Amino acid sequence: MSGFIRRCAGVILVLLGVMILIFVVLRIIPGNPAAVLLNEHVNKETIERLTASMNLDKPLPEQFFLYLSGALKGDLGQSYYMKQPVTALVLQAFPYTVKLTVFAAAFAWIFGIGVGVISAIHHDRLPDYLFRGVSLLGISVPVFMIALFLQYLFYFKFSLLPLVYDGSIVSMILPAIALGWNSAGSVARLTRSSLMEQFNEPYLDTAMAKGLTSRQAILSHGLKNAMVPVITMLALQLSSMLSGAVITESVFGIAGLGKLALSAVETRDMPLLQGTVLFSAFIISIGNIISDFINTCMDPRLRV
Amino acid sequence: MNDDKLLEIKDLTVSIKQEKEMMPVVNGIDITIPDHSIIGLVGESGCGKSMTAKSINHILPSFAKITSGSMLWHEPSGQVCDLVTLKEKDIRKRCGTDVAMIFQEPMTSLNPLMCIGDQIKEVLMIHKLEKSQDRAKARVIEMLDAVEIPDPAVRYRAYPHELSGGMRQRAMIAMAMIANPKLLIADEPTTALDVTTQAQILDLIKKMCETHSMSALIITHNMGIVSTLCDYVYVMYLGTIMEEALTDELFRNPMHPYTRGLLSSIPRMGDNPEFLETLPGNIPVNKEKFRGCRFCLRCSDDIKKCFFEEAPLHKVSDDHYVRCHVAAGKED
Repeated sequence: MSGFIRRCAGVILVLLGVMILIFVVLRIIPGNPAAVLLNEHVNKETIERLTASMNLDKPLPEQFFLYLSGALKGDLGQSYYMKQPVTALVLQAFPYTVKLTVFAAAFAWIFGIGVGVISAIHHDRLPDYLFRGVSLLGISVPVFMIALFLQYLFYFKFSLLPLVYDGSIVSMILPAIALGWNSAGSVARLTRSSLMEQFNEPYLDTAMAKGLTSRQAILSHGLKNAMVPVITMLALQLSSMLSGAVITESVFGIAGLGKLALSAVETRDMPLLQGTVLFSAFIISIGNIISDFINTCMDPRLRV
Repeated sequence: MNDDKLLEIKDLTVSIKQEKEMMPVVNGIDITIPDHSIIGLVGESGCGKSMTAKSINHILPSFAKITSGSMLWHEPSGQVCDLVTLKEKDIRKRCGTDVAMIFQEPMTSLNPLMCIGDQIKEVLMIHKLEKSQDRAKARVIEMLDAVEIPDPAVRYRAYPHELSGGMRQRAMIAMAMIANPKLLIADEPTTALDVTTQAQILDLIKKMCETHSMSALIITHNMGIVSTLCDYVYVMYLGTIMEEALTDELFRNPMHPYTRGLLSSIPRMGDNPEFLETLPGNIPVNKEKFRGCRFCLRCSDDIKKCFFEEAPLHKVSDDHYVRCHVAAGKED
């Protein structure tokens, strides 16, 4: 329990650090956001009036304090460009990202763990070579390539699936595969190596001496042990997917967190960018705590 | 000793794959395990004793294979079955129920993510010896009690890392015994334990053999264990049986220079403490096929013949055989 409290305190520290960092970085970038917003041909007074209304004329520590006290109340400021509260925008975008993540993660895990297990059981034989090639492709090909390739193949060539996301589940298939592809590759490789490490463990001999066949022993005893590092990786991947997939969401036109962050960058919308980054950091921190929790449930040696 | 045979290992050869060549590590050994008796198999590390044990229930590592020989299992009904020729599915039916095994390292031999009770219960479930989970659990707790684990109902839920080495080995013994096997193979059962625990575990194994009228094959490098536990002993060196005899006979009248070396390596109270007797040299690397006696390079009384010709197993008496030219010569 004290460990849990310590972890939560850690999360708060991380979030504070992220806030300071993003705040400072955005202020270092030259150029006045008010001027960008109004575009260059507006007279000076208008720009100054807007600058003042955005609190940008105040000293930096005061600006930060204002931001922090707002954030504690759940108010992440007003988006310059969209003229809406950042909190509302983030919460609007988040469900799309969640939906994409659920599909992508499901694909990555089922595919990744499945391929990894088959590879390990048939190691150094044909299925293994084949799957190792596929998972290497999974890790090394960038997301946008996969996304474009999938669109080409399934929309232009065979017109089986929609080009972009239109709200239907079918249109979520391609984005999910594109986003899950990389994770599937790394999950497959980790599952394979982790399971093969178990092959020499004496407890598998014990399981066979009890009367399990070697395959049963590997799948019932070995796989559970092999899953410990894989689960950690899965949880980390899950939280990084949940924090927004910029490329996938842009290519397939999904109005999720990644797309929101991208548009914030494009329009120099500082409050919105701060808000999305902070929210992502929050999700990733929570993801880490959850992965620790799952590991503790699985591995009794971690319970103190 | 009993004359009814339980398991007869005949001319067993186990080979390992080395650079695409099969290299024998167990060379045509014969071991007979009678009913209700404890047999010892003694030798240094790497002599092939573990390979012999693992070949019985087909858990050899993937690079090792039984290349010849037979292992005849005598059923109580009188039927004989060769374990070597069994398919995986059929040998697994016998594992746990006919042949059980305990290992050297009780920490790594138990699944760290499962509580010991469930691991023991699994034996009953695999072989469908108990249909109800509750009945099975009760039997496991009974068994934990029988192997003298205190507070068995609580310990049922203990994970391996929560138990001491001795307790873990007791749990392993409970797992081996739960389905009443006819043969227990114990591969260095006490090597990883401290001395006081060793004695308790050996006592327990002996007690279990008596109460369950079971035979045991004890694999060890420790002559002390052999003398307290075993009825009959096989001494193995580089994959070959060098000497076999009733335990008393072997300790009274060791004939092979290797057996004598092993026996004189046991430190005794009151001996000259500055000098501990050891066997000279190391186990040679078994690279090419050698025609002579495997032990001749480390032997103190070898003769020329030893280099060119392997000695046959010479019968000293009905309960004593030795594979040595010199010892055989002395006898004549």
